[in-house]
Amino acid sequence: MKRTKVIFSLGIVALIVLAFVLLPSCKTKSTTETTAAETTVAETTSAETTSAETTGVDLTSIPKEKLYETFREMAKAGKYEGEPAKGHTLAFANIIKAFPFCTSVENSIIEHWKLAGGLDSDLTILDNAADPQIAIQNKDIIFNKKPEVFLQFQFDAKINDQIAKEAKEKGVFIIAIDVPVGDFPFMGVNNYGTAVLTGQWAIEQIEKMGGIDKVDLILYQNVPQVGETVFLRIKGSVDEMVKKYGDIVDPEKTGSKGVWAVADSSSTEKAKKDFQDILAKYPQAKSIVLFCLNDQSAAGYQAAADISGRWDPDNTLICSQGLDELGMQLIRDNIVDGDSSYFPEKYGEYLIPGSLAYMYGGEKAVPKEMYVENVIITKDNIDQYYPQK
Amino acid sequence: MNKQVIVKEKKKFKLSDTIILFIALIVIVIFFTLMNRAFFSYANISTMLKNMVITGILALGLTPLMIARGLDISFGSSVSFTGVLMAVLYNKGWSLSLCLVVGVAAAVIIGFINGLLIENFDLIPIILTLGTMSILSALALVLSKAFSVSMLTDQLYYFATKSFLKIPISVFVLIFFIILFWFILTFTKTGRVIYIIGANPKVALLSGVKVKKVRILLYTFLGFIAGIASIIMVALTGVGNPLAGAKMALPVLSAVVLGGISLAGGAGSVWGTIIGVLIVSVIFNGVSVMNVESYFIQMVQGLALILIVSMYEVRNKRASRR
Repeated sequence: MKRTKVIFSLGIVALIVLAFVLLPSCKTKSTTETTAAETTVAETTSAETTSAETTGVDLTSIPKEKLYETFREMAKAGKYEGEPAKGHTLAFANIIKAFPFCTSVENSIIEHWKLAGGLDSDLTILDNAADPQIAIQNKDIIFNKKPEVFLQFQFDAKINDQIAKEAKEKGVFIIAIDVPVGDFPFMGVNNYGTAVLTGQWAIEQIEKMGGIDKVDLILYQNVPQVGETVFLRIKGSVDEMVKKYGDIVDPEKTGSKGVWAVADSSSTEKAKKDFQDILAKYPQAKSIVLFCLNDQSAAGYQAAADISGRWDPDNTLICSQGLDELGMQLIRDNIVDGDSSYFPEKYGEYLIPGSLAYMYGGEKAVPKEMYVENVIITKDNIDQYYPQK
Repeated sequence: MNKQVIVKEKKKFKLSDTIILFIALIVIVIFFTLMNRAFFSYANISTMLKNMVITGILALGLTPLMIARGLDISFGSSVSFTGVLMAVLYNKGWSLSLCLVVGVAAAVIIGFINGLLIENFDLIPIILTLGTMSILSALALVLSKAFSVSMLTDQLYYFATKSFLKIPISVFVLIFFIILFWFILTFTKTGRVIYIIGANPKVALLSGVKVKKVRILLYTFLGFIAGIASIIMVALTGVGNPLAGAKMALPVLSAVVLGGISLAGGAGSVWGTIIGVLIVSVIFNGVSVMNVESYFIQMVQGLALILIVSMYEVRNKRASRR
């Protein structure tokens, strides 16, 4: 018994020591210990007064509708005059931290928060881990902290509806990232727009290949986890393809060359497994066009085709979404042909000005939509946007 | 004489597993409070309690089943499926109460089928329920066309977000089930039968206990609990999500095992399970409040699981040597 107690006590001590050693070092780059919510909440009215005193820029003289643009200019220049974020609070719930795209978004937010003079202790960052239950728990944790602005990055717009309703009751202001949260302002990609752009680009490539007759199979990725909003990133392409080629590419029609590819997009490994099964269903298909949701899926498809002995880059057209570091490598390696870039590394340039506009001017100072510009990145233009290091 | 005194003193200082677990919980709570004062605030504790309701009631439902040497890992998929079913029916114009009743009834039937197949065909529970899990997940996807289905109602929203006596309403559901399971396992004949089956099913059978029937009842009751968990999940999220329960098995099973319930059955208590659930929830919440990435939350939860389960093993080995 005595020995058991000793082992148990040592275990608890080891756990605590390990936690002490590990936890501070594994915090997100910008965040240190979070202080009690009550002490960090800054009232909008007092913030406005503070702004005039501390920023050196008379923000009160700027019309509310110009605040966002003023901060945007500062963000683009990489210099926020007078530390406007100082003394304010912000929270960010990331969609799934494991993705390079999401890491870029997070790093960009942290970078601009710091550039704007925001303190580590006033920034809360959580990971929704692509799990609705965790997203709900994180929402509660953030609501308790009562940040002035909550940047919500979560897959399911329908779950976001409930979050929006509660946020309004609790007086928490949200800026939605990529997936709408009720009628709160939205920042990110125009999901349908980027798919239309990708569809149009794909049609150009198909025509260069000799037209749709030369294509054996068109795979449109469709996966439940992403929710209907993110699915628009494929839907727009489907609509463009059907508009151009008709029923022969419509995944809803029987006998069509276009089919829904239900492949997990949450990791390359899972996508690979699903795409292996999908490819096995179409053993005769040689010339294949793939519209996929992200670069992990594109890498998964390539791995699946390779394992199945069917990887033929000359007869494969991969159109991906949300270019990230993996996607850049895939483009340079001739695997992905075109990738719609949302420039996640620039999300902070929109989100922090949007947040600051709210902090200094209230809800009306924040534009309802803050869209990023999409560009199809290919092997021909990648160095223009992302020069090789 | 002296020996008797020593034995008495030893007995006096013997701590039960539940007490040790409770001390571990207190240590973890103190640790997180020291790391961040916001952790021990009313608002945060209230959030934590609210967020442990689903894990808590599922773990409670699993407790008597595992004590009786049964196992079901399909409860997460059952939550997903019934959630989607309720939401689909609601969108077809069914009344809210009817949707909820049908959802719970479906979950009860799933639990009953699990129990019936396992007990009547002597199937290995983990294999059978793995199969059920897969079927239910697929059914949820088919029914929802792979998207979450809205079910944002005023009543469920009220249930999910409001408090009574400053305690979130959903927490009362957990309290109700704690009392119910504690009462059944401690004071009723059924409770004693469950422990007897877990200790030795053959002896129980020879003693006239209807082992199969009791176990089928426990699987069915877990189904009922999954149905209730599904309602709470729909209330919290406002949707029937086909993947809502996909990741539930690990935290629930971790909580039950942390609570001292062995896969070998025959031992465990409601309080142990609840402390297990609290430990899992406290670690998640405490680490989240500290702004630490989710990977490390899983790591710390895993560490706690290994540590406490190892402690049980050491204690059991020591006890068996005596």
